[in-house]
Amino acid sequence: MNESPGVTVSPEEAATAVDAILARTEIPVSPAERERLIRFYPLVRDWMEQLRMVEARYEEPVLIYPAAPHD
Amino acid sequence: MLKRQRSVGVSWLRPGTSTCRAWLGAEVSELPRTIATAAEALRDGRLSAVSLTEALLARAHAANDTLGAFIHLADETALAAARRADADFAAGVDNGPLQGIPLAIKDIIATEDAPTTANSRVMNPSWGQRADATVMRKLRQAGAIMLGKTVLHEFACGWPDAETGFPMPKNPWDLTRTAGGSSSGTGIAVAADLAIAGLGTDTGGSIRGPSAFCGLSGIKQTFGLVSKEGCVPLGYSLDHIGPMAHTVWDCAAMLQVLAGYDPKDPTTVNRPVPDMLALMDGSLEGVRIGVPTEHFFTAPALEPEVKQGVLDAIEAMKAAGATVVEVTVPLVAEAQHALWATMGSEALAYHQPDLRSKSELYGRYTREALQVGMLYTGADYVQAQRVRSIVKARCLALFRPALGADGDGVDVLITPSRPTVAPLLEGYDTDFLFLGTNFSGIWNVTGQPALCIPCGFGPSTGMPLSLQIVGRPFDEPTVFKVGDAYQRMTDWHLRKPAPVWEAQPA
Repeated sequence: MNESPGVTVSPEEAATAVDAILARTEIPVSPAERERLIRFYPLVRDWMEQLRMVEARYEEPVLIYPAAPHD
Repeated sequence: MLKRQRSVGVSWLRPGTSTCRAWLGAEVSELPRTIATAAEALRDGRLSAVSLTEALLARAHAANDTLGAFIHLADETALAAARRADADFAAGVDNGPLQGIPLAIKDIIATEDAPTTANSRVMNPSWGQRADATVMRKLRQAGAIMLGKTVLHEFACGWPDAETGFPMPKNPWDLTRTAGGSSSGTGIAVAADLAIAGLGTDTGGSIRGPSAFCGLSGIKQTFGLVSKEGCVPLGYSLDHIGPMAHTVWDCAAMLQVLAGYDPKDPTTVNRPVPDMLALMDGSLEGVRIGVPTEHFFTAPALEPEVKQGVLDAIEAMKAAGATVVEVTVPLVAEAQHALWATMGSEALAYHQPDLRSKSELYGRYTREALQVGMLYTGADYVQAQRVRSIVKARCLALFRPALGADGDGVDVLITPSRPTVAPLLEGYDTDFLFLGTNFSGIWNVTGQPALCIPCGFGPSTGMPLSLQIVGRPFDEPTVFKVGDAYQRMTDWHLRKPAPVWEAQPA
């Protein structure tokens, strides 16, 4: 069961979001790469919504490393 | 360090196996192909480490333009190490089965005697001038020989891009097909008999893919069993360094050396290392095998020949005494989403400075793959780790506590390693990396051991088929037991492609 109502992202919203991400990360991309990211953005958002499982609501993250000092 | 024993008394030598017999009956001029057979020949005087190393170096030089296996061949240091191994043999010093064995090392693992490029123009050359990675130090202490550094998909992701200037890897079974990745070069080198065995790394299937496509055995062991120190990271919480070889026995012998706590890698687990060879008795009696039909045998992308090859292998194991039960692996799609969120975020954390300042130096497909990491948020990453907790717990619930324990859980799962045989090199699209069917990444998400072994050849393609054996965390001995028992019943792992080096001018 999923605690998210699902996600719908329009191409315009995806373009706006990707441009904001690119501005924040300061990573240069070609026009073709930008288009690819715009195409992937709704997919990734959908995948992440699928991870909003009810049973994960109070779950701890896996792989908490021991608090040991470095050598 | 052990004093040398006579070969008949060396406890780890594998007596009377088909692997040994296959070579012992052959001419000495035909080099051994496995650690087990080479180790025996090195100890009974039929072969020296120097002559073995010289022969493999000659093959590698002759074949490399065609196969694209190696970035660097370490002629001088390899021969020096071989001379030391021979001197140890002569002095009665025996460090175990890897002594005098030439290995191919994925060029993402630091080696003090050779540069480490990560197959990239981006990699800082000075990083490669550091000391040996922990795994290399352990291999050398065991007497192994670093024959050369092998080609990989740049930084262990993406796909080969000829424009970067690095060798283009090709499958020894069919030069028009991929060798798989990212540990392509190690897969090629071992499959083409340019090295006896080697090291790969695996973040979502990069040991198992090349092993499957090249007809090898290869294991991604339990996360935390082997140190990752000295390996260029892709996904910190998903990465593994592990063995690739012809046989399960060889993988186990290598893992015995590689395993163990390392204070330099905080993800390693401080617990006793089991005897990896202990359960290899050829028997499958009492072993409970789980077959997860849903997804792993029903995915539309699964080629019928692959499916049939794996089902035939399961049937053979059942006939040999194993109990086979159908199970359902839970949360497969969620695990895949968690894998990409984790790998994308962890890889971007490492690569962001270089993607900002020298993006154009990355190969096209690597750059495209890394860019997807930008689409995940910090909250996405943490949520993925929370879902991993659930996926891990649910997958472990399929297993009983130990081999022979009460309960209706299984000891191992068996799935196809890959949905297809090695695809053609032409026509790759980065979308495939994220959207293609994947049977391996979930075990990086859960951290469980997963061993791939050959299980036939596709009737229509002649390409290797492969199955995957998944086990309980830190129970590699059971995984090896099942894989080894199957290899005692079959000879898929001993078949070899046409030798490329013989087609080359002297």
